[in-house]
Amino acid sequence: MASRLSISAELKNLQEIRQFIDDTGVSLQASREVLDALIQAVDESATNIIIHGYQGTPGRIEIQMDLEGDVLVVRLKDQAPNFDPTQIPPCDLTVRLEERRSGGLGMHMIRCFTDEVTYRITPEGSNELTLRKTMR
Amino acid sequence: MEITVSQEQGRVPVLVFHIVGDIDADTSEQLETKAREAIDSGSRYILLDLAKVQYISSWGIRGISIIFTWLRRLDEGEDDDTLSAGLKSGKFKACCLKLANPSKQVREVLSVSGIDMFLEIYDDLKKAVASF
Repeated sequence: MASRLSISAELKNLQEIRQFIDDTGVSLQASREVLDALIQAVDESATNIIIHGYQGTPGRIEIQMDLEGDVLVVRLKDQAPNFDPTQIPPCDLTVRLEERRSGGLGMHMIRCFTDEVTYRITPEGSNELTLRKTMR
Repeated sequence: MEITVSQEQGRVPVLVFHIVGDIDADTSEQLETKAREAIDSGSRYILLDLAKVQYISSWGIRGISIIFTWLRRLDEGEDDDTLSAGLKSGKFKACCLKLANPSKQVREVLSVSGIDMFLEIYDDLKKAVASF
């Protein structure tokens, strides 16, 4: 059964979000290496939702984590204006950070630390970002 | 996150930030503020001791990059074009800001972000101080 966390979209809650992924991953017997990578990707995703999605307005993030076969699946749902982060182009690491597109490095991390990232707008109109990471 | 500071002596005076805790979007500003205060007080060489940092996000990387930019502006050694060319060729290494003792995951993030292309990383604090 999937584990769920519903939490206010505030930066002070990032630590609790990371702990939720850690605790759930440990209970699913994920390796430390796989979990560290997934924690990174989820934290970067939640940060982008809080900063670039809600932009300081109140809102919530619903996080669901489950094991499908040998793949850890994390879904992050929010009600910020619809935006598909998977369309952010790859970032050029040789360009100085202050010149890079805002949020680009976070998306770069998400891509690097997961096996698959997909986005959809749910029937209710929410953003849903799905991160997949193989246990092996 | 908590930061304690110690003054060490390499070939130049080096300010070491011993950071304890996670550096994320919620805490990275603390690091920037501490560095800004140190730079305003005259520090020109800073070493970040990451031994007790379990997690760093892209916002922590951004904070480190901002500190590098502040320090570099005080150094009239190279202009922006020279720096950009050095970054693209991978030959540029900063002399004003260095990193020490990252965990395996933190080192991975430093690598994935590309910040290790221009910041030196040491596994030994004394060697890191001596390298300035």
